[in-house]
Amino acid sequence: MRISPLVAGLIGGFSAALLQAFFKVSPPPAYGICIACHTRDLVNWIVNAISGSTLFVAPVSKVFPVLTVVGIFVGAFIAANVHKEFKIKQTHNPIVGFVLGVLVVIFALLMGGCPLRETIRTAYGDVIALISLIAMFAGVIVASEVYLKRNA
Amino acid sequence: MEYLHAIGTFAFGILLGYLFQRSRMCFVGGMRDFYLIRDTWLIKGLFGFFGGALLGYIIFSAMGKIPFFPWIAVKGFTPIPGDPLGKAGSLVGHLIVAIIGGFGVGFFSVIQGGCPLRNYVMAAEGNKTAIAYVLGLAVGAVLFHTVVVPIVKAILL
Repeated sequence: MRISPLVAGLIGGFSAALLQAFFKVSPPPAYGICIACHTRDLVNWIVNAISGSTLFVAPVSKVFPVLTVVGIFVGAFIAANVHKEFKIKQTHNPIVGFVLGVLVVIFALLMGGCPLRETIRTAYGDVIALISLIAMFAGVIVASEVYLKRNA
Repeated sequence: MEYLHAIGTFAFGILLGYLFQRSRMCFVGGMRDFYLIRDTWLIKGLFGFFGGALLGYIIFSAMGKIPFFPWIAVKGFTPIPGDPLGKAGSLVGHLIVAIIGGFGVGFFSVIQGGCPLRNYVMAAEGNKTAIAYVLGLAVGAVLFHTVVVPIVKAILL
């Protein structure tokens, strides 16, 4: 069964607010779902626990990190297996993918979150997050023009 | 319940990971499809996400579970975790990092072929490029707080 992105988005956004209201995913506000920040919290928490360093984690993840990204990975893995879509493959060179991952997380943390968190921050009333979403659309346009259209 | 946030995010993560895998939800992909071929199927996910969060915030703040959110709040409202400027930053400084960060995420995500969420889902589907990308996210997160934050602070503060 296909689920439309609209339905998945509605449930996802509502869950973000619900996590903040009932599961104490706060402070900071509007932190229910974020890929970049929650990966950062998890990785830095583990590094801190192993090496005793004091890398930054969000206040909510001080004692134990939020596990959204682990959950999303497990949920997507279950869905891919149930619907027989799990297949070892690659879209392009993994080394390029690794470098792009480093770049994307640095820019994402610079603006204060991944696209998901910028969206829920906007819903929570933060105009700076809305501006960063507009800047993201500008980045998508430029990359589509200079990269996708030339490699099409 | 000290670990409530971890239990809640893990449980909801599994549900959402399932939904996102079935729907191929992607924020950057939605913007790209809308710009290139005026296709609105994927970008509806972004607006759905926004609408769902807005609905949730209205309901839960009316119930008193969440502090009421001031619309058009700009300065000092959301202390962004890991924001290189933090509360000390000026409004212009926050705008600069938001615009540079947003542009960079949009640009490099198009080259990679999807937003961080989509890549997590693709990694779970067995895509080796996406798995390398997720490892890149982990390494980049450590680099950000050890290397990038001091540089940005030196320039903007």
